[in-house]
Amino acid sequence: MSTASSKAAVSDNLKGENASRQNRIMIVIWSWRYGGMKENTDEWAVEGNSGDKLVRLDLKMSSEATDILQQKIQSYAQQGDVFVFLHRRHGYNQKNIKAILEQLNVEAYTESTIRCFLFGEGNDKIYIANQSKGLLGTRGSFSAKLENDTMEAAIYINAIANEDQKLLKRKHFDFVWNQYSHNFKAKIFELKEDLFHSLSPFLFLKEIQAGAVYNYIKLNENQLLMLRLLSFIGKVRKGSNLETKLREFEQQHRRSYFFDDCHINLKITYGEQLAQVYKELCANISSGLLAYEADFSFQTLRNQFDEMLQMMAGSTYN
Amino acid sequence: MAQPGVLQNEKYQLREVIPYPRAEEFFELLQDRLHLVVEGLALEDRPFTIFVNTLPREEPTVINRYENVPLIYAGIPRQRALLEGSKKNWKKELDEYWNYLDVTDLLSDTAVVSSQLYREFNLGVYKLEDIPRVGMGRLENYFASILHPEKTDKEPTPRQVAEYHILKEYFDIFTDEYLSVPLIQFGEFDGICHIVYSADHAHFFHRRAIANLIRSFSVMYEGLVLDWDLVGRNPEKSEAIQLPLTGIFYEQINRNPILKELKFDLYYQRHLPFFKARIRLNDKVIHSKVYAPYLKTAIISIMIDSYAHNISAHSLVALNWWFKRRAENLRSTSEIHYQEVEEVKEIIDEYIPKGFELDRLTDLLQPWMNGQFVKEPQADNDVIKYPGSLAREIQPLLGFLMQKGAFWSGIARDNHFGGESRSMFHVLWEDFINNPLYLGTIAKSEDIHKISIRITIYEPPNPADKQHMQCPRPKKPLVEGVLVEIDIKKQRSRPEKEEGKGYFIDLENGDRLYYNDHVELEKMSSFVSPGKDYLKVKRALLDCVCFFPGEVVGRHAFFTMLENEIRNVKHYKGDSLKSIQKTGLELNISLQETGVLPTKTIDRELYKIGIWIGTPTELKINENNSLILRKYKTLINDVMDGETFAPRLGGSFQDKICAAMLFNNKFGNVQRGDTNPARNQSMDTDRDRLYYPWITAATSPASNPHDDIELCKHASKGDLKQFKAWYFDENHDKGYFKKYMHIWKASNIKEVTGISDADFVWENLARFKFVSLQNNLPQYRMLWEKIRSNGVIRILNKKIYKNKPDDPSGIDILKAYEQWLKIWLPKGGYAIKVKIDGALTSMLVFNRRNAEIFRYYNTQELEKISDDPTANLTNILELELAHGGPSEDPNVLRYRNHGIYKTYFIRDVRPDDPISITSAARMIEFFEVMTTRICIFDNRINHRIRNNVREKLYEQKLHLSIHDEDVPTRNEDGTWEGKWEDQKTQLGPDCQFLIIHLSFIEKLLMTKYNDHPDYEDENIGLFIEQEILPLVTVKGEVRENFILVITSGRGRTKWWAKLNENIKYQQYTTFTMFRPVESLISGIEDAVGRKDDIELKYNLVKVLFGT
Repeated sequence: MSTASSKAAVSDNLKGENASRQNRIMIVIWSWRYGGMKENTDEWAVEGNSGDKLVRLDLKMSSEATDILQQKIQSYAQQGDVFVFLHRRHGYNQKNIKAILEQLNVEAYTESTIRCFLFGEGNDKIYIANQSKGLLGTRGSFSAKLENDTMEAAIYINAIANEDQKLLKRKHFDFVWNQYSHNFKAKIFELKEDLFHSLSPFLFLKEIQAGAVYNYIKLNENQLLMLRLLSFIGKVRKGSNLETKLREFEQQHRRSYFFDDCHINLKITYGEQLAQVYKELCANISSGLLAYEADFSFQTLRNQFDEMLQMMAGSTYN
Repeated sequence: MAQPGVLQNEKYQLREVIPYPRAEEFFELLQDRLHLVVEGLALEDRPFTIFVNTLPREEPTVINRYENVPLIYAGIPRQRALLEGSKKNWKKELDEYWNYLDVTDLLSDTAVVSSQLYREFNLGVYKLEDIPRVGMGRLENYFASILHPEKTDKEPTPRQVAEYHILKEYFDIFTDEYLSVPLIQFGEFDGICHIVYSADHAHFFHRRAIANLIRSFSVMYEGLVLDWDLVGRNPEKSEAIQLPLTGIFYEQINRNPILKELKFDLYYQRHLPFFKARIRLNDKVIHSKVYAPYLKTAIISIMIDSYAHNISAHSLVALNWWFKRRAENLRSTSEIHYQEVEEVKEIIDEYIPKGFELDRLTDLLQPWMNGQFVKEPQADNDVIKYPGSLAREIQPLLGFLMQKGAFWSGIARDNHFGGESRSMFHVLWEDFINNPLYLGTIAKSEDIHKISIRITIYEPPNPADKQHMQCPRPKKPLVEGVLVEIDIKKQRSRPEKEEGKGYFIDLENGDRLYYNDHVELEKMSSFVSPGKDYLKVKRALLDCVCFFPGEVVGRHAFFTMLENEIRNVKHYKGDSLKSIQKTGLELNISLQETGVLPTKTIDRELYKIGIWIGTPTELKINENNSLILRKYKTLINDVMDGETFAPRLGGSFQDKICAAMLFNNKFGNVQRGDTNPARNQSMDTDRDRLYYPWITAATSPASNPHDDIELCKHASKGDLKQFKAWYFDENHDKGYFKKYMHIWKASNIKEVTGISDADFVWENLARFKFVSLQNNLPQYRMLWEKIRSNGVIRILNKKIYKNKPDDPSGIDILKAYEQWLKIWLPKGGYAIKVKIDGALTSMLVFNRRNAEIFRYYNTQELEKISDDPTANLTNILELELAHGGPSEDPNVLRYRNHGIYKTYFIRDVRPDDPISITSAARMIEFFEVMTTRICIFDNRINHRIRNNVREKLYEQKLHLSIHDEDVPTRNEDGTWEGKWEDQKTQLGPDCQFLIIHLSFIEKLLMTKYNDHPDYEDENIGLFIEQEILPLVTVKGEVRENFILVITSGRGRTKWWAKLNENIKYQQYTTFTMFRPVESLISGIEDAVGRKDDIELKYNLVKVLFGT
């Protein structure tokens, strides 16, 4: 079995519904100490007896932090699939993910899947405030009291099943795991759908002037699409005005748009073959869609997206 | 033929007529006094009146004694009152006649009696015996042209008509009579008095009585003139008065026969001692009366000289030269730059395909393409050769100059309401140090471009030493080290970056400063470097929380003293100077806690601040003099010349004025405690006498900079000889030359128990955050007003139990806030819900009915409580905070990780731990900040906020509404409309701070009240009475939780004086205060620039409360 297909097979197992699946471990770096965690780290099990667990870690980014994290991942990968959630405000970015995953030599882990996600600003599905079945509450906790003008009364949501036993509610854990199992595929699929929907005025034209599509995407009303595409092809530098704008859209829509954690995961988790397809797709977007390329073809672009999505095993949504 | 009294010498014909200040008032009194004299002739039973025609005294004039001069009707309003009685009895039909006379001049060509008579008396045409003939007659004759027009060809003059109508109402115009006598003062004819009386009284006016009348008039007039000296300074007056007191005057200058007949010369000779004594006494009183206004002018002159010297003559001269070179370089290289831009564009077009990559590259290069860059790599100075923008350096300079402007208008205004409490670290770092363009050039003329600031914290003085006031005062350093270095010619290297920890700078001693831990470094200019002892010195300075009266004004008073010390480098010569040029100038600042009363040893209310240059200098001037003695003698001197009131310019006097302000909250108190007899000393206190002249000169040997010898008047006990002998014996040739002064420590709570010296003389109430005053004290209201007049807003009406001064646990503050918010917040219960992403994270409840008045609920508690603590509360403020702090969402409040919310308010708050007392004290302060309602009408502040998408959020969540100075307009139905009219009705019971620009008040007064009888320039009392009182009065009293804040960028004081002078308006001073607009604008600008909404409100509230 090739590396790519073995990875796809492993990924296929990331469903979380059946009993035969591997243990699932989330390592979440967040402001746990602020929420009262006394130690540097601890573990929370999930109700209903399994090896599933959530490992809490409050660790600002540093070279030592990377080492600690790698050790943790290595250790937990012996027990099952590992999803690592890195809080952006703790100083983590895509470069750190790349470094962690490459140094771990993730491809060597044939029996388990390791993925790294960046999250923050309350716009990701791991937050209770974003998704009521999320896990992260307010201020380093697993719970939140939600209140808004449309609610008759405040709603208290708690992801903890038993605090003394450090036990989390299964439905919250499963929800988050499933969301992130499909996270990359769903995000790419949504980008593709939104892109073609937006470009529909061009799809039936016999002849398209060079640069016409690019100039259309450049329009102010398509700014979000442009930024998502740029993030997808890795052109949104951290700290740039493009990043600030995309972050504003995230806050406005309470939805995650960044692909900063996607590139390296695609390559490492799904293998070299998919990485190659992704690379070609990026090149086509960069020099075809977002340029004055006379030979640009929508069909080719669609095929590349489709091929890539097909190569990503598993369903797009739950 | 020449008249007997006329002098042929033209020089003697001229007479200088000096003005009387407030001449109208003078003549009112004169009229009254002359009336009294005539009354003495037993004329009480029948009416009489006096038309006083006299020389106008509004402005200085020179007249010829023998020519026609215009006279005026003097004291008409008083004359009318004396004739017609109280205003209600006045005959309305006479208004036009009285009013006419009141404003008219008598010109000789139309005057019937006065001017002609006046001239003839002056010419000496008449003797005393002629007066009954030429100056007496029947009214019928005087008014012949009106009563018998057929018998004369003369037309009545308008004045005659007016006099006629008045007199006929009270006199028999056909039978009653008049007498005209000269009005003489100090040997000069000043006018004519026409006495109109009943014919029944004619017998009183015989020759002898007329002579007595003229003399009595003179006595009255002269007495008034002498008294009038007190009304305003008139140095010419004594000369004008003294001349007629000499015999020569009557021989050579005025030989008028009437003067001789009445023996004026003898009269003055006989009473010369009296007049001399009066003039001398007057001079003294005048001196003391005019001392204060002259002092104010002198202070302004002296302080303006500090600008001219430190800033203009030194700093700006150097900067102007450097920036001229930069500007010339930019001009000369601009063409090259445009060519380079074209070259880059060509390369891009050739090699980069059209599309996003090209667009992005062009975007990124835009600043370079559109900008201009200095290309002068050979310059020896980084300020000149730095290619990019120097905005980071220019902005602090401009900010500094803006603050200097506020400082100068503060000097002119000299009414400082409250102040600010800030740590010495923040004051130095934020407002002084990060200004390399200024600090690096202030000593440029001595070729010094490098300055370091060294801090020493001394152990408090031994109380026993303090009581004995010995000159040797050695000090023990607790912390010392270099805080910062500024080198204007050389930029420091860029900070390095560590993954995950951000930027950092390594210090010489191995300490590593991370920008994340020391946020102040982010704004640091690249010409500024933290000193090697930065960490320990910063920690020590953060603990030194000082009170600066008048905020920016006090701060810059302190900075002026530092700048002057740097400028003292001009006294260094030879090797010492070379050494400073090579290694840089070291400015030393020391702080030592000390008590204000020498006899009290426990409380330490002050910081004794030492300032000196860290290079030894020659302390001896010559065999008989030394720097310390010279400085002492200079400082003990008045800041003005005793005779001429001319200001004494120079750094020592600037220092003295600034030190006086920092200690007394007022520049004008600089001479308090001085024993100069020409100064009114009645207001001086023991504190003034002890601390004057506010600065102590000191020296220490080169071998030990802390082994001080201080020379103050108490230490020397006035025996300078003994000190001199001892000092010279000790061989103090070379060493450090220092100055010491005092700054108050900022503190939390003060309990005032009565009108004692301990609370009002030996204390500075403005330095306290709270002053408690038990409301059962007999003098409660008087004390309350006195405390408020010190600028204290938070006055509690209950005693707050104090564990110890400024209990670090914060329990005092918490209790004080609980009491205070009961007064400050309108009735009802209050809650603040803090949310993030719609999730409730904490809640603050203030319920005056609960045993626990203030309660903070953390996240965990909120999740567990079953009963909603806000159920019965009427005022609930929901604050939606941005996740993590920053956000572009205009519906959420932003805060910074390094801002006040995270680093102070919630610094130690944990979601699942019970809140500590310290944190509760901070959270209740947060509660005060967020619930305080502020309404601003000021264009300058509005310009910082307008067109901001957050305006609505500020109004709804921060309770902050800011408006422009839109002047109301009147509708057809007579009602007023406009923003002011709309907003003021909403002030209601809620608004606590109403901030209005003084100019806007004037515009409102002008628009709405220009026909009001009390309308006048800067009469804000009228504005308050008409516009504010109806809104803030509850049960006949102005709400205790309302403060009207006047802002102005200028040093205008008239409005405050008017408010204080008018009894009707005096009560408004208890809720009216001033804040420099620069402080408010800075607070807003800082927070808006940093995108921190919480800090915006905090900054404003801090400035408004003054602490």
